[in-house]
Amino acid sequence: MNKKNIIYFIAMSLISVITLPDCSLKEDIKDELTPSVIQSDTGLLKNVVAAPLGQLRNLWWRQDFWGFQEATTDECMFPTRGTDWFDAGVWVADNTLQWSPAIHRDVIDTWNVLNTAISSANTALANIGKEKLNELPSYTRYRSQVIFLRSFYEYALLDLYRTYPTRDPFNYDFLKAPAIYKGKAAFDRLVTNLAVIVPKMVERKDALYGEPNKDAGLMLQAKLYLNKEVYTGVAGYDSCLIYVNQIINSGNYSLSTNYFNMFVPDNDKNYRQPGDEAIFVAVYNDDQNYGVDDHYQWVRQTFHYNQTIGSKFGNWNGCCATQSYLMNTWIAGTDTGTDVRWKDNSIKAAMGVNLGFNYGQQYDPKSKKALTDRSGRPLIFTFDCPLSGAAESQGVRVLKYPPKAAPISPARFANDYLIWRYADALLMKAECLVRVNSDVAGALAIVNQIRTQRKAPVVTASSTTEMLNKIYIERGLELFWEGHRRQDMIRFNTFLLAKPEWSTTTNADPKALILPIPLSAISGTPGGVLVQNPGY
Amino acid sequence: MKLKLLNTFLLAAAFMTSFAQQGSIISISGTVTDVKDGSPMPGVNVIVDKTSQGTITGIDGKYSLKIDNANATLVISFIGYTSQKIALNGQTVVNAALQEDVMKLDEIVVTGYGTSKKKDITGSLVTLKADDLNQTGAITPEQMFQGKVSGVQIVANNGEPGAGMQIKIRGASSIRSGQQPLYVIDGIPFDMQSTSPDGINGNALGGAPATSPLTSINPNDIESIDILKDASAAAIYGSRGANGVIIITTKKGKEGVSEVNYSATVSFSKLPKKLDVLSGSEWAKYRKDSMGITDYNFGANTNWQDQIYRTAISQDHSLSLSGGSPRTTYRTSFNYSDQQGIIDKTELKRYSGRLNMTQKTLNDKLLFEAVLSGSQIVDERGPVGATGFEGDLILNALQANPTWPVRDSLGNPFQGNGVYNFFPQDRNPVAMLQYTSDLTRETNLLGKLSATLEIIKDLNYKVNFGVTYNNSNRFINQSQKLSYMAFVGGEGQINNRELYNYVIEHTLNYNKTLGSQTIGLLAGYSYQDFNVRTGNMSGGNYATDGILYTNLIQAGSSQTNWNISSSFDNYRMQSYFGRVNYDLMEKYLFTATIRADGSTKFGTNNKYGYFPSFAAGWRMSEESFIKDLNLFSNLKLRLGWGETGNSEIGTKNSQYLYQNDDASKAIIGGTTILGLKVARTPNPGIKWETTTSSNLGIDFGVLKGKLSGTVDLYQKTTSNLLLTTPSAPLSPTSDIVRNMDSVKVINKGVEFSLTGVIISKSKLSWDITGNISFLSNVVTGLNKAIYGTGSAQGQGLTDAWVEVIANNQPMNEFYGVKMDSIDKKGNVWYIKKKGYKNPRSAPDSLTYLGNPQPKFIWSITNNFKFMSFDLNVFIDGIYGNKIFNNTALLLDKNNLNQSKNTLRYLFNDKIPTLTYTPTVSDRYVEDGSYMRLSSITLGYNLNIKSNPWVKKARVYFSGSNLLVMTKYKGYDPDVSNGNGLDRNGVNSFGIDITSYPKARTYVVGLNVTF
Repeated sequence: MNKKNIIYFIAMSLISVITLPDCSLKEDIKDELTPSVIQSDTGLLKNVVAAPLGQLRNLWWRQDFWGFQEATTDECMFPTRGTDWFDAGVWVADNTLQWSPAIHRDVIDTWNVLNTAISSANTALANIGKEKLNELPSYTRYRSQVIFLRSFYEYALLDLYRTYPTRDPFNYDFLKAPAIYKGKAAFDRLVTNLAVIVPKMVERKDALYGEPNKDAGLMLQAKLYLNKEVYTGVAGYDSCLIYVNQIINSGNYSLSTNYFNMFVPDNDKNYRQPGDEAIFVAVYNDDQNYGVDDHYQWVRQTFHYNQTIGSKFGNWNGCCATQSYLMNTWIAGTDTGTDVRWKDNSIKAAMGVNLGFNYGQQYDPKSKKALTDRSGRPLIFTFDCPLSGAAESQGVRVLKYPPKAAPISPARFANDYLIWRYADALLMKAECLVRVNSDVAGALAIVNQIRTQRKAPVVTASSTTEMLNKIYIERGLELFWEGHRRQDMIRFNTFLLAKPEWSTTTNADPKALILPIPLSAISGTPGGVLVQNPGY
Repeated sequence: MKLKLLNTFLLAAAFMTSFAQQGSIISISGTVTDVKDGSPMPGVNVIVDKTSQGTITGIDGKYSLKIDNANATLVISFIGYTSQKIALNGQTVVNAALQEDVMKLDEIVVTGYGTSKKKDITGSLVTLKADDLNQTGAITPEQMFQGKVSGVQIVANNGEPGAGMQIKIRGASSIRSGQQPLYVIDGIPFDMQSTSPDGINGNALGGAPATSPLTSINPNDIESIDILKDASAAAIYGSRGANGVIIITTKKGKEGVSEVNYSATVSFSKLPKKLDVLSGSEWAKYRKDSMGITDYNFGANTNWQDQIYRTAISQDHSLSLSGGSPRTTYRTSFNYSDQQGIIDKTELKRYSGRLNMTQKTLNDKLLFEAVLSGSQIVDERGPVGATGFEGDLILNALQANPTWPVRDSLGNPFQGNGVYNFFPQDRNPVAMLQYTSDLTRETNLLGKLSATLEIIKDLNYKVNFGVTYNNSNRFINQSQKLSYMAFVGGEGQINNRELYNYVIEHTLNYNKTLGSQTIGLLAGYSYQDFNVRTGNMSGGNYATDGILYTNLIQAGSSQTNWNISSSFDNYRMQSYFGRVNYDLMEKYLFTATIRADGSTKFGTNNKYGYFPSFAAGWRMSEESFIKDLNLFSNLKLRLGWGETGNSEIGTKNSQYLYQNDDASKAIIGGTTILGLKVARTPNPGIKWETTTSSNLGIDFGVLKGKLSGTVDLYQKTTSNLLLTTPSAPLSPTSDIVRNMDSVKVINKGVEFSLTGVIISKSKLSWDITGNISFLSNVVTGLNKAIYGTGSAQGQGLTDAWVEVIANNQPMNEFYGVKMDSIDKKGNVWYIKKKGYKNPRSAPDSLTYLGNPQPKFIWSITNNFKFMSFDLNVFIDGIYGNKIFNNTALLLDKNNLNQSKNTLRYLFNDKIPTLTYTPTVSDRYVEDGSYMRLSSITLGYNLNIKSNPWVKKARVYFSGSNLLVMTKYKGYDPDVSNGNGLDRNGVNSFGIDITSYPKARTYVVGLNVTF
């Protein structure tokens, strides 16, 4: 070996030490957790189980489940004001019940949010593992909670799209098609699963606040049977009555003595206090980022740009109540002079607006000056408001969840959203009494119990039809903007009726009772197993 | 020729055999001059043929050489000049006069992992030397070849100093991100990740600045830029070659030439045109007379554009020292560049240094090459970049109430007067500038060492090791003094982004000439490791402006206002590659390459991709039947085919992994429980996109090379397109990254490049180079009808797509409704499908509105020389493209209804109502064709023959962006800021949303060589 070769040999040896071939090219994961880490640390199970519960917050805003339950009805409209709020036609489509399966943002996003939440529940179930004899009680508690949440999301899909997919939680091959359940089969699977799991759910007395308890399970069963006729063509009000009675007779709940106190910031303080109505809640805090920054919407989405609501942040001048709803439900249905649900001035001095319904000239809370709109015209909210070409100031603005006097951020929200509450259960019971037993007196007692509490004049009814109409009006008064209106209108056959605000004179096509399945979901499902709903 | 060659070989062989016998040492000397003007030529290679003996001429063109063979042949060569071979035959004084080679056939061009002579190239490759590049006002390398190369379209993201460019070589072949070519700088493949950190959120600031990662390179250091356009040239870069490859080579020292060069420029830039908005009095009068509103009239007459734009003064100084002995060469350079933007406060400063060294050892058998470069960039930005409905600085300068005074009685920016206070949506542009700051400090380091060892004759082994490091810190402050920031008490953000990459490559090179055959073999191995770390923090609710927020970010009132995040990403690539070049009789050329690329980003089933290419060339001008025509000085036919890839997908796409998710946090019993969810829907089969392309090219030269050119015809078909598509229901996420089997993107085009030497006298010369390229692009096989790529900005335009990818349409087609007519009430009607009209934009009226991709792009460069003067005139243009003028949409007449300003031509438009709803329609789709007088440079070479110190001195005056002829109504048609990438990572193109306008610049420059 000569000198040159020695140098060459040394050089090559050094170089091969520097670069040993990396044949596997296995990906080096730096900022996420692998399944083996999750499985080897049982302490992380609670964090995986947290996900399907946390994602519950995603549903209660204008672009998701809440939006479909409200912005498709007479309670809530998103008029196009000049340029504002056209948003590629999503709101016009919602209000006129004409959705495009290909491009309607919320038809697509709501489907995705609900599917993702079910997938999170499946991931949690896979990590909890299959049911074993003598397993830890915490595992049973986790499993029943997760299956309840999965059922809730499936119910939401059933309600909107009349279909939901399922997947084996233990199979991670997501390129395969899921099983698809529709209509009666979908309903039957849900109630069967719930019949097994609800008895295992934690009792309300043992439950932590925010943890879905057995009453939430019972309420889901009641909701399914309440709407069974819509979902399957066969009524189930008798079963609904059984489940709501269990909730009402539990003695856990009573009607709130201060209506708007249910919706204030830090309303978790009402938990287990007299007048606690909360059966199932989505918990929001403002102490940190909960990924739902846009949800401080109860103020921003409805009030005008120039209203500062006590603080210096902008509002978006969006949705309002329709004139027909205000006339039919409020003016005809109660005394707005006494009914505490119409107007509550407790925050007016600080924020310039009232709880409930806002109309007329608006004022700046500090200077007390009359406000103008952006062009310089007086800012007077009116009852009438067209769907298209609305002026900035048209439409009555609705505030149910008030902000904090000094919010930490315009994006954060400390009011827990009441998904289901006691007054709803009472009204469901009244409805079932009429529909199952024609028990008008029993129903009337319940409705007047609520009306008395809300300082509304008592009503009377002499027939089941009249009684059902009173219940329908009462639901509109008691539960406005709480995400029930679409279900109610469909069940009471008013959903498809023409509304003057939409400038339509004909009733909507019955296909509008069900949303289209997003084209993106159909194209993403292999094997053609996901079929479009009729009429789309 | 054939005979001559043979003779040369025989002669050489004869000398070789006599080599051993000759013993006496003789001195040879002489002078080399330029045929054109008889001036001495320094730096010319004088080599004894078939040996490594040789030298280089000095400043005076003189050389001397000691050899031991009186009958040797000298080869005298200089890049860009025709080489000469002179047999000594006993002479001891050999003078030579070299003729400039118009065809530059012997020019050395840089191919991947090697070099080649231009005449031996079989692929489609364009080389630009420093002289060919745009020199004036270029801050980044891309600006230096904008418009210079046929088939390469370069569109500025905007006119901000250091802004990024969108470069498309032969059209976009990919739908998703990753349409950019691969950059190889001094042999190191560059990771083109953005080096600039994004903001976390921010009310007016915080969007991705999209600055160019190439900003760290001083354009004065660039020796050449080689652009590999077709697959046969780029396939050696495998899975990263699909969008073409741009190889940047920096200047090195030359043996025997010791030089000090100083160059400096001072430039003045201004806004070429203001957009015409209503004056304060016109605005107030119209609102009073026609709308009956007197509110919000503050009596001033402010054109807010005057308040934010300025004449920017910039300077650039470069100093380089270079030199070399036969064994060592070096070149070191320093650069200071201070580039002011035409928007007040915006400024980019760069400090950079570079050292390139080569050293030969071991009897010249081992060559070391080292590169060390470092730079610091300090970039001060303005609140520019469309975020939020309230808009950015430029939008507000156009739409702000023109009756507001600029400042209040205290001298502060006017934000209300006590009686009238700013509403949350009101923005005073001057307040935005004064009360925000956005500073990015970026450090770039590149170190490279390579060693080339001649193992045996003709066989070289090379190892190349390189490290790049980039660290950026961005400091954003938005003062609570801004009316719209008062509620949150101001905001401070510190965002960090750190990139560090390693590469090691081994190559073996074998070149052998056997008679009339030359064979070249290359085999190589490459390993690269890429890392990106980010860290972000923000605070708010500050008690005071007394300390700049980012100097003490924790001074915000409580932790509830704090926001922190970080990430760490890694990927690695391992590659094997090889190339065979075969040359028969210098007439028939063949090239074959293959690369196997493995990447951690690919799925477990697809770890390696294989990318072959084949090309052939036929130098027809060497054939006797062509020679007999006595017409062509060069005629070459090139034919190539190859496959290249695109692997610009994110990492982790094949992995099932959990991540923290804020939206998955549960709150139980008052306690927050962190949520873990599956981060993405894994696709274990994920792989690269494949682009198959073929190229037919002709290079020709006629009239003794006075007219030469290139014609290329190509087709590129990209398959296995990577797209973020809907996943099957109940997947962890609603999207999955997939290779779309059925989808294809097809680009076809033809490119012409022609150079003519019109006058070539010693005192006067004039040459013209023209380029024109035609391109057509279509997407086929999309099962989903429409894929949104760019959305409109503006109130009520959330989720309104402007631009889509649709089946059988060109990429990035504009999409919306067509305006039909306006009725008596002033309502706008739109054309509905099947001939019906529709009073509003409804989904069934949406249609295709044109395309941002040009039908052709062209440029003409004129070079004149007269005595000591030189003049360069560069004109370029594009034709047949459309631009979506989102700025006009944001400024339409209805703005008067919101007490904002509007553009005069929109105000004067026939649309009569103020309640008109701006809709994504053909109203805003404009012709983007333009012809631009891009630059004129007049230079003068000072007569320095009397000065013993100075070798060369040149002063020049230059103007760039002097004239634009276009119908486009916005600031400038050369824009494409769009919305960057949408949530699916799809590029938008040709959307103008209040882009930072391109400046008109005048430069005075000086270049002295000592």
